[in-house]
Amino acid sequence: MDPRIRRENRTRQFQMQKGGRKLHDVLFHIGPVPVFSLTVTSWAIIIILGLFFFLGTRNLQRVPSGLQNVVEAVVEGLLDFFAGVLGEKRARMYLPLLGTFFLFILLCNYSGLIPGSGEIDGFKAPTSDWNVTGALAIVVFFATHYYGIKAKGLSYFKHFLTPFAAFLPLNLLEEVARPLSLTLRLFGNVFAEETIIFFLLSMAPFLVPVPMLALSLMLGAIQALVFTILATSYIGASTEEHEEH
Amino acid sequence: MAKDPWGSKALGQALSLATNMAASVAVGFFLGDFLDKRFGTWPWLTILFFLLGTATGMKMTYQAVSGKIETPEDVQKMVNIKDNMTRLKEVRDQIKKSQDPKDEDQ
Repeated sequence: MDPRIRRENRTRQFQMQKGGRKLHDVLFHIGPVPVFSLTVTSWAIIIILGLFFFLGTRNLQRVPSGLQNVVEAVVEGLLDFFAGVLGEKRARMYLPLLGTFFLFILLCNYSGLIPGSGEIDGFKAPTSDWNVTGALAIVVFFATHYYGIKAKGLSYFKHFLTPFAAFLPLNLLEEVARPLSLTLRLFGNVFAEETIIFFLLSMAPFLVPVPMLALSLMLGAIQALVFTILATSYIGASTEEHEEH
Repeated sequence: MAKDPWGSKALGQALSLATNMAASVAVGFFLGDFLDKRFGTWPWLTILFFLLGTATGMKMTYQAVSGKIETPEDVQKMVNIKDNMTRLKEVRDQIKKSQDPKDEDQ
């Protein structure tokens, strides 16, 4: 088959899902790889975050001013927040991963509030697609075990046998269920929120969706917070020394 | 420590209760289904893993409520509802006894 036809078929296939409303809108192709609207949005978010922190930390001063103030406030706020769960030492260790989770998910959720997002090509909240949330949850899954093994060595695997060996299948299933649960919660909430706003907009575009938009400002922050805090407590549980508690 | 102005850990656990339950049952079911198709043993592994998934969901819920299950005694506590109820009754009786004399004095 002609590759161009095959590519068009695949594009149509992606667009057919979720009847009518384009869920997977392919913007363009890089070689054989289709690039979706949500991919472009998440790239934009990555670039915005990267630029923000690059500009904020490019010229560090002892007495901060301008953008450095904002960056310091963000980083210190996150550090305080994680220190409440992990303790100061471990919070510093895992801040890069967990802080990035929070900021990325927060911006992803809020990118759905940009007027026209989901309708205009190239604007779409990445977290309203469960491929993105699934990828984030898989990162949490591997990070949990990697940090656990790094902190405790082989004795990390002992916790699969607690309280006794018969719990092994339950503990293993729990490890698989956690990322699925993280995925579904974040995706479900953001997708539901987007869909409600979409329908409100199509029914009564003037003023009616405003309360929902306000609510989704709060929900976006809460969902980002919940994903991060759960990732934190998973990593915390896998790396905690037994004497600590 | 204990800087948690939003009560965010509790919030996270509360919001994760429902999806944890659903996710563990789903993981159990689909894993069982997959293995059954692999080995041609339908429906036994599906049933087994579905039950295991349900048990996992209950375990996760219990952990969210009462803390981590780490020692065999914790399992005893979890399973022995009868013991817990009798202990609860004992405590209630003790409280009643401690209150009764005051009432008589008055």
